[in-house]
Amino acid sequence: MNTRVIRVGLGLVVLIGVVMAITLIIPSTENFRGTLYDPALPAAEINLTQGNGSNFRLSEKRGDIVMLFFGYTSCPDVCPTTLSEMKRVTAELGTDAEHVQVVFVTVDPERDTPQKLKEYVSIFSPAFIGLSGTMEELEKVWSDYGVYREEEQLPNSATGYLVNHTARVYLIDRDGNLRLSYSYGTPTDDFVHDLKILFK
Amino acid sequence: MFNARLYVVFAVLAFVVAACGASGSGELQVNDVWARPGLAGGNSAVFFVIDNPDTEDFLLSASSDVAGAVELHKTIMEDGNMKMVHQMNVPVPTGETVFEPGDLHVMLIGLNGDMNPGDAFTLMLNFENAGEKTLKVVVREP
Repeated sequence: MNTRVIRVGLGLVVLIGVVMAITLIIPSTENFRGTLYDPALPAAEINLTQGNGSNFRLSEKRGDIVMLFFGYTSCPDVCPTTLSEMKRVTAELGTDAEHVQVVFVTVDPERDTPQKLKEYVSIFSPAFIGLSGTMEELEKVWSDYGVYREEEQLPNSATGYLVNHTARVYLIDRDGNLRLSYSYGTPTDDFVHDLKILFK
Repeated sequence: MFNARLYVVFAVLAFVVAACGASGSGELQVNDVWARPGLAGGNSAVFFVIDNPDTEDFLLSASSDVAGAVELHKTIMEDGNMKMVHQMNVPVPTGETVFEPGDLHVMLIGLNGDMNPGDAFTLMLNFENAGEKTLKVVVREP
């Protein structure tokens, strides 16, 4: 009876050990908390204008992780909430934050000049980049990233019009691949968790 | 003599009125009031918690001199897309009504100056039953 108990116990210990070893050795994609693009897709080029008037090319950010978000400076709620979260995320990454670039692309080029975007993102962090461009340039980017945006006229509001838009954050890895995306309201810890995996 | 009696009557009446007010289940209160930082000419939003212990009420409007216009808005997420809806009024049932990021907010449109963390300003909320409430709003990061 005792021998049987010992055998079962040993068997269990071995089984737990094997499971732990597999978990540690094989990097599981299920570990990511964001929505995974599997396989990862090469991120479409973004070629737009930044605050100082110079050109921004996404492909020049290879080697950094890019956190991409679409919004507009008149947006008083979802956009600043997301940018504040990005600030908290980068603050928790320590020195790795030097290799994370937060990029905010406007969905409202009529009101958002590159300069205005620069001032807006600077409220959150001077390291964040705000991008604008012509309607034609932006329509290509919105389309490439599957971003919905639609102006909604509000005749009884001082806002004039609002822009309804996709509120996801897209993560482009250091090799320039669109790797993950996150819905609005994703906890800061989830971003930090995934970024730490990518920096390993 | 007559005047003295009159004073006593008024004093008793004042006491009764005050006691009646205090003996109710309390008046509507607005707590945890804060606003996001913003730039001159840009927009911001104010958030708070309304505690309404007594009678169902409605928030009809908000006003402040820090912005060109002040409106009641609600953020709605539909299939991952953000949409803001202008509210003509906001029902305030008994209990808590929370104005918070991603939901109800008072939108400040066209700020008259920069609003930096630590700044404070006054906001008036106009309720159908509770009347006007004057709030001190502190600017801070979420």
